[in-house]
Amino acid sequence: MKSKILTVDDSRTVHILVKKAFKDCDVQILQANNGVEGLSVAAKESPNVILLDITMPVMDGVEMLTRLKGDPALKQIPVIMLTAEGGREAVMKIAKIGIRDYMVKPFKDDVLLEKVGRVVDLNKKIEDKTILDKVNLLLVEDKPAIIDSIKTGLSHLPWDFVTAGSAVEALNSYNDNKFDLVLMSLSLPQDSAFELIKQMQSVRKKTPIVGMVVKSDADRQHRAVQAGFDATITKPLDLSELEMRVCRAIGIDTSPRYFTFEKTHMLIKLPKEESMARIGELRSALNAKITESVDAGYSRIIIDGSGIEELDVNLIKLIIDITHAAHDMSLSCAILGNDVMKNERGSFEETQNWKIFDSVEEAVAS
Amino acid sequence: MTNESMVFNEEEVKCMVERALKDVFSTMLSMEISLKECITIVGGESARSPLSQCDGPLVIGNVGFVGAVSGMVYTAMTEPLARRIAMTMLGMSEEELVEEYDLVNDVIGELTNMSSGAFKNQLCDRGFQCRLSIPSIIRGKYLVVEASAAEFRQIYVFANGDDLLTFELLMKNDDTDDGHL
Repeated sequence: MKSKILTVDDSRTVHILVKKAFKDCDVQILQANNGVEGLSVAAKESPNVILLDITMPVMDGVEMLTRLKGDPALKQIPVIMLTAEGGREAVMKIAKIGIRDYMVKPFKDDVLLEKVGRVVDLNKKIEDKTILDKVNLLLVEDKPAIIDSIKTGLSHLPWDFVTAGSAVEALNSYNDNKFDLVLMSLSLPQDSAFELIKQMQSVRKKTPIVGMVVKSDADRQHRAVQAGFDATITKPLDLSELEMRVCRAIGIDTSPRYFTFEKTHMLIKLPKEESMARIGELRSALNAKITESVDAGYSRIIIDGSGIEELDVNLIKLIIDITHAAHDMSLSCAILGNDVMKNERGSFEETQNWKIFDSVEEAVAS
Repeated sequence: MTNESMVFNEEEVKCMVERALKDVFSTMLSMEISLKECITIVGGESARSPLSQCDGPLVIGNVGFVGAVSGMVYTAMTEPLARRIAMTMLGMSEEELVEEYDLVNDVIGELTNMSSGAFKNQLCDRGFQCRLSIPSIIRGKYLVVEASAAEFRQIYVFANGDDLLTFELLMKNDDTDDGHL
């Protein structure tokens, strides 16, 4: 749950500065302009910490602090003074009422973060990654063949693997490095995977952990859910499925694999291989990307099937869905294809009338 | 009444003001400013701002402090400098600040608050307790301050490159207020 930080100051500037200081933290910033508003917001929102100015209209900070400490429901909320009033006697007098810390303006962001960080958990925001960004993965597997298969199968991605053949090795790596995800075999000797996940979660709770388990082992699959694995994937591994599960667990945006915004049009690149995982990925981002293209002022979409190896019913459905979605938003649509598409379109009623272009230039000019 | 009747001499006050302004500008804006001139205003004479020869209106922040030593501070700068300060402090672009006069005023008010606080906290640490008032902002072309009761009055002219800003300080002793919060 996000920490709540209440800043009580009559200056809009200070509110903006505080918000800016915490922009990389997963916190909620609440604001009040004087002591009366501050007490009201504190009672309603139960903030985890209050940053309190002194000189304010309506009710000053000293009075607000006194009333806060006199209210059984609010007195436990830690208060850090953030004020231009900094004389030693003033500080000592206010400290006696009960504060956690005292900051005199002017202030630096890092000092503010450090002082507030001593009082509340300031979780750093998880940066949005795309399929084009580097990802650091810890692969915990004692079977070299599986390690090789995963590393080779995912070598087309900018993902770095650190491997560990045992629970001890894995925990040491985990303690020394920061990973975006842990991929862990549930078949480690002595069932050590289930103890390992507990230890990892006590170090760092937010790193997703995906378990790999034999398809027929329903018991371990069930135990994985109980133990708090973010997802499981069954062996033997479908590498496209593995890729998708990892992306989903980390929250990787895979749309750049399929959608690019060119000068005159949005290009949608169809997956080369027939894979329901890939088709599902494209489909899940379709509506948002079409909306984005309309917002950006595009009027044309080009569906790029020039790389496909077989025109099957799933791809046909996908192309039809793309054209319908484009039509709904008044976008024109053209299909860029290859000989496979041209030869096979006659086999299906829905595709017989498709006009397929050989080049982007022809498709744009149509 | 002259500046010599104050508990501090001019040189001490000048050092405190310089320390305060440089600290605020470097911490909040990563800006270097340098003290160019100190103008002493004697007695109750009125003094036009040294910036009044600049084109365009001035943006002036005003904060008071009251206690064992009481006083007023006026920070004055040109409108373009005020906008530049606001852009830098808030990390906003010129376009974002186009219609935001109130926000620019608020920034200068807060800058004045911090500068005055940084100055008067040094007075407190020397045993002269005083507390700040709420800042206010004035915009105008000609600033003339008449203050017959001030025992100390100086205008400090700072520069950041070609831009000037002034910190006008008026003070008097006041034994009737202990200055505590």
